[in-house]
Amino acid sequence: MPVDDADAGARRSSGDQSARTPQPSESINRFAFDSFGEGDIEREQVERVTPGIELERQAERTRSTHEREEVLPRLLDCSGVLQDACAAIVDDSFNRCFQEAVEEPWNFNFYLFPLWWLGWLIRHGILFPLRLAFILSASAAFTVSFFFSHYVTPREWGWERKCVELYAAAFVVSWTGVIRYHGPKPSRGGQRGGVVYVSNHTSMIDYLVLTQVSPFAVIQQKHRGWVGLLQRTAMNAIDCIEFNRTDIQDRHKVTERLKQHVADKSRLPLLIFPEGTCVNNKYCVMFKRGAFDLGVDVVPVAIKYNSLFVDAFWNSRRQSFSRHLCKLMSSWAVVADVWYMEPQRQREDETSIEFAERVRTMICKRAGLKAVPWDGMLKYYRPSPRECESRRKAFASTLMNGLK
Amino acid sequence: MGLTASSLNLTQYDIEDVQQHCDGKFTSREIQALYARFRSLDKRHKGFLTEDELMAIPELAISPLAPRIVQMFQNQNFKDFVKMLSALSPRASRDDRLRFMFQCHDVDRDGEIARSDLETMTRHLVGSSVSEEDFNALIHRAFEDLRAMRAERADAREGSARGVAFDEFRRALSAVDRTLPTVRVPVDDDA
Repeated sequence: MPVDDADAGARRSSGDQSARTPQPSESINRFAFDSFGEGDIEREQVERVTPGIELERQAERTRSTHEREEVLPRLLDCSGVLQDACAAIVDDSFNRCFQEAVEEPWNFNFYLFPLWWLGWLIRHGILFPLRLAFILSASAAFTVSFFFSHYVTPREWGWERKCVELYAAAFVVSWTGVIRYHGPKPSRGGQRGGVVYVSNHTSMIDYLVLTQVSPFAVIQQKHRGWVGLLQRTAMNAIDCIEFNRTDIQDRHKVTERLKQHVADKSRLPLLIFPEGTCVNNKYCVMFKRGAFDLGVDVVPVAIKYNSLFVDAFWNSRRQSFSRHLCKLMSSWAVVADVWYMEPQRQREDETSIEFAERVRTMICKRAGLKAVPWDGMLKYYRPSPRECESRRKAFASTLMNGLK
Repeated sequence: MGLTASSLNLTQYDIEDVQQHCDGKFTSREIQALYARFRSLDKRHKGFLTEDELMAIPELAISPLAPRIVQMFQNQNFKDFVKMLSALSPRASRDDRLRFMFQCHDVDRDGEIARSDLETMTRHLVGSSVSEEDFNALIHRAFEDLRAMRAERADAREGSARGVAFDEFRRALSAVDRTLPTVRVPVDDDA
């Protein structure tokens, strides 16, 4: 099922890149916005503009005014590279946003130790099998009822949606979800479509948590295995849009389908996770613009998981979704708060980037997350050695120009 | 004195100690944040960072200067780690920053940037994108510039000192009038 990314529409006009003046104090800020518009669809490899690269470019601009250039200062001046390297030592986006919390067992003294083991046995020996049996039978029931509603009952009855909703609820029950919902829940009957829900993203279970209240259509990364099967059948039947993160053609199609979807009021409200990737629920990475370019109201949804029993972060690169679910099912409970917030509309004096940033700030404040100026895509497009090579090339070419 | 790897938290005394060690370039909250960072990088709580642990930071690993930076920061205890970084703190002077850069260039740590130091660093910085002749020409030109600079000041140094000394380094970079690297320590509210 779920859920990723809607940066499809994000396209940065290269014009505003050079429009701003490179004040040093502003360079951090600019970096934020640069990495923001990452969804430059035409280029697959995303260019990151780090503060260090910014320093180098700035130097290059001032340099061109000089007449004669010495080689020595250029060779000795590596401040741009140093800037980035040392900043990474102090703090790096990867460790911040995508690192799982290390589970520290609380069995560190003699009277806690037996208790901890007792708890462990109950969770793995009793709760887990029960829950597994429950979710497997729920899956069987879902399969039967979904195919019935899909092939027999007319679409207008909305039984498919109901099935998906109940199935999501079954999942939440399977990890004893204790979810508190705050704020007005999305209405079921009346207003559909014409509005976009955006939320921070911790795991694919976000979708389940939200859908058990009212079904959503969602933009999702294609998955394989049983998740992929669900996506191709059930999720497609309720108008979810799936795409492949790395396929540029797909991204174009998504933009179109997004527009069609919000224009059609009979469809389910659209849910978008503009971070485009799962973040560990302590931080919030930059939002992609896609959801904010549609010209419709945006309802911010903030989801905060309580890490008391289990860390709900799904590290998709280390863990399959099944394993992630097993982890959740063998914990005591999944405790979360969900806030539905006031619908927001883009102000007239606001660009879609600023609008996205404003919504992000709202979500971060509500859920107690820390907003960081990093791009979630870095999780997939790991800073590659190519980036290092291109940097060396840039450095070399300015040097060689100096030689001539 | 609790600055061994085993201590979970810094005491007020430790913090003051570290602060003194880095001439007050970091606030106590910054030092706490740095300590948390240090501990999270130091996977087995040995009290220092190894090459592998530093190279595990993706954004550092892709830096052209990664090998040199890692060399500078590896196997340092927390106090020296902070001292090293303090040269780049927002409170550090231009000279502090320049000295850090100088240290970075001075690969063999003999107090001057000899030809071999410059060659090593330039190799890191340009990689394989420059041909051998061009590379040699670059180094040659750099030392010509150095000679010209010395002639200008009419303080031709003795034959023994062949490399770039720190005051020459500072002079060479005096024309580079721009922001030098600065490292901001993110201070968490929950730190």
